Amino acid sequence: MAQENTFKLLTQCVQLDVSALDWQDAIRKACHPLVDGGFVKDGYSEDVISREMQWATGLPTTPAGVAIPHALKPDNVVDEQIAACRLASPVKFAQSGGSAQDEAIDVSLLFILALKDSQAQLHLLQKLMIAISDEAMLTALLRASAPSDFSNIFNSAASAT
Amino acid sequence: MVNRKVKIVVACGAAIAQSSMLQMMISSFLDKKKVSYEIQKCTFYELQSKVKSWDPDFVYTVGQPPFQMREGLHYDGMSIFTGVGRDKTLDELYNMIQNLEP
Repeated sequence: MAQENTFKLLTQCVQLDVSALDWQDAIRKACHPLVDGGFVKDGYSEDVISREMQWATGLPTTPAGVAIPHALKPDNVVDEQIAACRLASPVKFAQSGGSAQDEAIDVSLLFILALKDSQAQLHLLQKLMIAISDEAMLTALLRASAPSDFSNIFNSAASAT
Repeated sequence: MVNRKVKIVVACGAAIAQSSMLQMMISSFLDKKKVSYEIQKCTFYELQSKVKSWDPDFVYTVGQPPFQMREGLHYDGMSIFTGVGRDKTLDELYNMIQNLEP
């Protein structure tokens, strides 16, 4: 891709080793930095949860499952951003596009996407795609010792594969 | 190899994130292979009418779409997405493109 890859995950939007009861709880907690930072309005986490019920976003990545919950509508998105939330212990998410016979996925890492339909979104998705589909990168994110390490690793993702 | 643009549809639940990511990966692969293609994305809800109206050569989805498609049309793009088995899936696409009827 020719366009400059300008998107950066902000350290303030990274939370590590959060305890969550279930996937809804995980989504609500993962959304906190987006609300606090003014990137989304209060209702965003509920938008995301209702979408997740309709179309799940759990991904059978290795070495750990990842979910990329996001809302169907950008109504509550103020500014495009993503938030990362690493869980203290995995919670079950339904598999993305999966059918009833697909097993739920143990998700250890959530990326909440606050998206509109814009060019910035493509930069963001490209970085995200590299981060979650590269086993070495995902392993590094799972081991990051501080939010700043996490965001540095994420932002170092090469601009194209 | 067909002497026209290969038509590919990528689809997911909302056509926001997953299908955009599939589109990026497939596009960059086909660019490298110098394949002439056109790629469109849509939601699962739109997919059936898109298949009917646009008559694509291939449909890639993240997971199972909510209806059946003719044999040889639909492929699961989850591997492209997760990276696990991605090269194999993309190579298979390339082979199928080379074997398309003109």
